[in-house]
Amino acid sequence: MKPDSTSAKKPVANGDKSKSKPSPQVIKEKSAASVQPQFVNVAATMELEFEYFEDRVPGRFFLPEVMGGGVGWGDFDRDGWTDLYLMNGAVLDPSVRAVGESEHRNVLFRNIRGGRMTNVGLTANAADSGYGQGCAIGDFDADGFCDVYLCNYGRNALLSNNGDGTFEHSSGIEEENDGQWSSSAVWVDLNADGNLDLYCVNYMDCTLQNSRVCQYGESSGYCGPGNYEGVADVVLLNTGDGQFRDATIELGFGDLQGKGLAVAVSDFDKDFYPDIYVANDMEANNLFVRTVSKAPDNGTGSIHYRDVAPESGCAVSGEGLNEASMGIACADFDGDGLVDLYLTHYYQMKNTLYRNLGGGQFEDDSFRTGVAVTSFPFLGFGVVSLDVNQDRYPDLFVANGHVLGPTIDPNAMTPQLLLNDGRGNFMDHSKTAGAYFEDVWLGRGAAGADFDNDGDLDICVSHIDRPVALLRNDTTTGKNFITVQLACRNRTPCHCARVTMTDGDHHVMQVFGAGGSYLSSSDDRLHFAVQDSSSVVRLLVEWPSGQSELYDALPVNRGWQITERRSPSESVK
Amino acid sequence: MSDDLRITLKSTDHPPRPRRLLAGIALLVLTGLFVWLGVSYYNASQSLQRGKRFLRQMRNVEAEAEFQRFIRWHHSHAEARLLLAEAIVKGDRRQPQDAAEIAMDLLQGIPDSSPLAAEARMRQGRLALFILQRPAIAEELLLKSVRLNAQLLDSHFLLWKLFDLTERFQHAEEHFWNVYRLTEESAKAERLREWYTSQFSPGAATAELDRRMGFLQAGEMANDFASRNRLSAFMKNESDSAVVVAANARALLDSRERDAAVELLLGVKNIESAIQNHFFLFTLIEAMIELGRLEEAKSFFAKWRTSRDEHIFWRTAGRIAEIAERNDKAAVEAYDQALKIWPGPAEWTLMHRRAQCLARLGDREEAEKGRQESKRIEQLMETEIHNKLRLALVDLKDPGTLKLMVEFYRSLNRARESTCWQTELERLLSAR
Repeated sequence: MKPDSTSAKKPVANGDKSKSKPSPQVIKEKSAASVQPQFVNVAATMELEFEYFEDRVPGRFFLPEVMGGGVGWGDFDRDGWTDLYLMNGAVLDPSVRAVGESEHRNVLFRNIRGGRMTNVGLTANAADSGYGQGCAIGDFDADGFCDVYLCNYGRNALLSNNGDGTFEHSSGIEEENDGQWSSSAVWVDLNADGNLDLYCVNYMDCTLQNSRVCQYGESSGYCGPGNYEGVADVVLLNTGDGQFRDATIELGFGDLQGKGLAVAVSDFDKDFYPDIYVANDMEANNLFVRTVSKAPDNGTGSIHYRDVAPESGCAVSGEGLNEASMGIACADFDGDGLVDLYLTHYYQMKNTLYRNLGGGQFEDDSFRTGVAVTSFPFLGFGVVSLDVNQDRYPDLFVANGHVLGPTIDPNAMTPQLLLNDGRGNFMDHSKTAGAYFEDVWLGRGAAGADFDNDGDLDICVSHIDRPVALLRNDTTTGKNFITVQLACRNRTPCHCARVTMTDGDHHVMQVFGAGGSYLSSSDDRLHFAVQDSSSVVRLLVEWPSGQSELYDALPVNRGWQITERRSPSESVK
Repeated sequence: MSDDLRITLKSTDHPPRPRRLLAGIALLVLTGLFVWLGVSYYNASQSLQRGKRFLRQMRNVEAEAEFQRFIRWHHSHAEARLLLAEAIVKGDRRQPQDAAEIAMDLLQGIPDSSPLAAEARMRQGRLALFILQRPAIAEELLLKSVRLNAQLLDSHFLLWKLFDLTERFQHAEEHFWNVYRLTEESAKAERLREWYTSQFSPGAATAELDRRMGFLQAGEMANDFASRNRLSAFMKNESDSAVVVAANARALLDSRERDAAVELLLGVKNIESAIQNHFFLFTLIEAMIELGRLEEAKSFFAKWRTSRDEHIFWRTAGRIAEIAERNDKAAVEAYDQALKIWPGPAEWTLMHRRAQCLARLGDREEAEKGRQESKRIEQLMETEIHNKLRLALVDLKDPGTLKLMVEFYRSLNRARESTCWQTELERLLSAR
């Protein structure tokens, strides 16, 4: 559905909430080629102390031990500073838990104006004690405060944000996920009723009872996904009254026994309906697109989803091989107006770039673009798309680390920063990006957010065996920026809205999506780097409702909250 | 008569005594020598027969002595050279490599014009491959053998095995069918089984040979370690050989050590000469494509001048067109050719690539058909299917086994093998 009207609006600042962010110090603008990416791990200085507890028991080789935890960014207290939710593991076999051993819990860190992180998990009642895997941040009850869905090995949980700094466990989710191994989840309005629904990805049927140990030469290690059966994903429809119901079959998601690890929502076919891409481990991936039946609309009955990945060319590699997919990044890497896909995969088995060709077709372009050759030596997990050098072309951060255990080489690995040349070709610029990139890690969840509100995207990375890292983006580009947060008329996130920013002769388009990476949830603001030295830019927002709105002369170096059919307001700082 | 003449006659009529003695001795010696030579010649003539008898009795040292004796008199005797070489190799007086080198020289002494030349070249090839572990030389010799006599089964068989041992098992079809043609009827079923094993269980196919060459212990199962050791040994002996370098590179590619594969290939002594070998060229281009070195891949492909009807040529042409040149139409045409030539019918990944090209060209219907066919063939390659076939193939006297094989190859659209297996089935049933 294409927008059929366009209205140009001038920005009107909201007097109550507007506070101008001081303009960044003007530095001589650098060309993209000369910009040196720089990231600094400021976890310690930010008092962000956290290390994922994986409960590794020597000789047990129980697979959940190597999967790590997710990272979720969200402004839970709406103070304009993005906060951080970190998933934690727990003792997997309570029968062997040592007496007196403390419980391990998830942690919520409140961001104090970008200078400090404070652990408020317990006081906020947000410190779940399940064996944490992934998290999905979203405002399911549309009260303006983002909530958290927790994917656990075992029973999942939904933390409803009370808006007063506390959370409560919501019992509204009735789903048959008890005891399942859930990995990732995403909030998205699947049936166009204005409520955020939940797509929950499940991994495998791997329990302490059926767990196996595999031999790698003379060493024992963890068995891979080929040794276990997959578990079907679950789709929960939000009924709007705090309750959910299982609509997996009803909506056409079927009973696919994939071994899902990641999920992302975007609009690949430009129809303004959410498309859901699920990354599976050594099984074909899925791309669910909405189909609308010709039957009369009787509520949700006419909306259906169909897996088009096989015929679209994004289910398997170009050779037809299932790949061990862990993390997803969605972005228009080649600047052709279509959202592409980047997936992280297993060691020596290339990451994959699916270039969106339009017309529902993707092409595995990994060999030509340098994606294959830059990924062969690594095993990738979390992946974040961000414009590091602010040349308007999305680059990539990849968290790497092997899974077979410490006695088998390779184990810990360096992370990567891959810069995009504008045509979707990537080169590894990790070595000079900072000390973090020179060290080796067992990287797992990774998510991006501008935690210090300086206009560039920072990254939080969770590891196994080492503390979490908070990579502050200190790359100096001298460029201006603008960030945009979108909301539909009913104030729910407007997934699949398209935002095109124009500054001078430059245009860049981004689609408002959700999910992605591995087990993680990035801040949902869209970041744009302004290429010329304009102090204002033009924004065209194409809403899923079909409406388009043009905002002329929007001042730069600000964050904007744009709600459909309302004047944009500056984000609170 | 004058007095002078009388004096002359007098002096000649009666030679002096010592001279008569010397003449007599010389005559005796000469006679003895002739007798001895005659006896020796006679004995030597018998040596050939004795030697053959000793050889049959596995008295190799004595056989060697007999053949040596014979050859002293019959230096160019081709059969004797063959037999002597055999005795030397089978004997235990020398280290195997030394014995092989001597045998090679002996066999080299049989000229191409000899009726036994094809046999000689074949034996040289066998020695070069299994004892001297020089597959490149072996291949030259075996190819010469089949040129001299295309009916020599052993030469074709050894070529087939040589391809198996040098990571070219998928390109040995021509050699297999020659072997099959020359195999006696009663053994054709075993040959077909060997062919199946060679193509679908290449490790198992070379296991016995690896044991004989010392790369596997008795009773040890085939494994990658043994294959790598074999290829390393080949490399040690023939590091300049394009085939050997390519075989090692292919093993590296299979282990996903792509950079090491390219380094090995580009480090060959004479690259311009090496790329005349199509297996080398094919391996190099494939490695380049995986590493994203597409311009180099294209420039190497441009040097592929001959034998443009091979499977590997069309396969490579397709990948260059699709990945390096983004020419899906040309890619489809090339893949179509590749899929007709073995191992094309089993290459479901190539079918998938072709289907993707068709989808990008907008031919959704054909693309979907291609994807379905790719999926069907992929399922035929599942481990469970082949475990079942391997188990069944233990008993070639079971009609059920032969039916399974007929069906398998029919599913693979391989009429030739399917028909051969059907023939075996009918032979078995009619014999009952």
